[in-house]
Amino acid sequence: MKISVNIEHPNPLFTQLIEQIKKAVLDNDITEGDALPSIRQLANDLDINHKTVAKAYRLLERDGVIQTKGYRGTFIHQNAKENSSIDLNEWVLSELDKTLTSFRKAGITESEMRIAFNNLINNSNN
Amino acid sequence: MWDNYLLYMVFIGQIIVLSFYFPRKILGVINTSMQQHPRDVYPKLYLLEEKVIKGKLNLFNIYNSLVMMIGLTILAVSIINNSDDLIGWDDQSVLLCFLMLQHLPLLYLGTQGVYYLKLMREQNTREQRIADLKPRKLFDFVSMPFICTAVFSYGLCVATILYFVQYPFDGFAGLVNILGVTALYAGLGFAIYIKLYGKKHNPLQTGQDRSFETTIVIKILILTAICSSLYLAISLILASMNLRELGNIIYSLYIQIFVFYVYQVMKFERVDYSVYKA
Repeated sequence: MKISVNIEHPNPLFTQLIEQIKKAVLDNDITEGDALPSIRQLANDLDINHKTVAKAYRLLERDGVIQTKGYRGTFIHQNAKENSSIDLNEWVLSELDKTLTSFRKAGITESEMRIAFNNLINNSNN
Repeated sequence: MWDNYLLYMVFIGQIIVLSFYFPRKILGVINTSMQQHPRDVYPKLYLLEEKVIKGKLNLFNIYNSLVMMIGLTILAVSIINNSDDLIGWDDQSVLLCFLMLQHLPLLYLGTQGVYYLKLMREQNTREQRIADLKPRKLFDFVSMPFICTAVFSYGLCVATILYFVQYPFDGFAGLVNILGVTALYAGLGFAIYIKLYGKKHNPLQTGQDRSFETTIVIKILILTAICSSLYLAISLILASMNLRELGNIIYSLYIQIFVFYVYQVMKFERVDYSVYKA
């Protein structure tokens, strides 16, 4: 199983990695329990920054597509196939859209929404 | 006297193998490869003018000829003076210094190779980068018995050193030997790690070629570890029996056999040159 990135593509490199790994899971090219290369190996082979691969792996782990087992390495999650079909970004957009629609109905202005949203984000970061 | 003649013969062998046979073979491989893969069909293989490449190869040839002449002069002076040691110095020091001298042309060729690969990376305009989505493991490249042999020879060497700590002989360095062999193993281990997980130096190389190259390099590194630890154990035993001279001969023979092995495992004809086409 090969993975490729296009350094000139408008999509960020970490997104390309995530999309391809999810596609490989959905196409059964890699299955539950299969080992993935280490961050260092993949970054060096693709000649890209280690942080890019680390970010892709971190997001894939958050999505339940892969799991890291300490020094033993990174493996495909047992529920990877189901989790690969879920697009969290899509879900966030639809949830926000519902919330914004209800705010608009209540007559909240856009600037009020922005201020409230920024406050919430800042509070959760602190 | 017999050990002097034996040393001379082995020294001639070292000169011929390392400064004549091996460089000739390397040059032969490069020249054949250039003849079989001409510039107009394989332009990505020629990052420099053919004249420049041939000039560098000629320089490599001249360096080796010079080293060979130095070696033959050392031998001639030793035979004419009928001295017990090579040019009246300590045999081991002469052999070691000469060996280092013999490696200088190879070092030159190696640095040129690194420079060439750097040029290849700079001129590589491919936007698409491909990698295997499979972890590389040491045992994909070498067998378990081979690794076990390296571990066993390390254990044997340490055991020999510990024995001589109990029953030392004159000139025995003691536990520093363990430190030396451990540092060597650690260094070779690090080199294996870099080869397994390090950067891909040739951007055009196919996965199959890279895998083959990795196998060869790792095998050579492990063999170096085995040979070095066994040589240290043997030389300690010989030194304890007052047969240090024999140790020098074994050392030289060791290097020659090693070089033959290296050449045997390098199969350049398996390289996929199609990636260098226009």
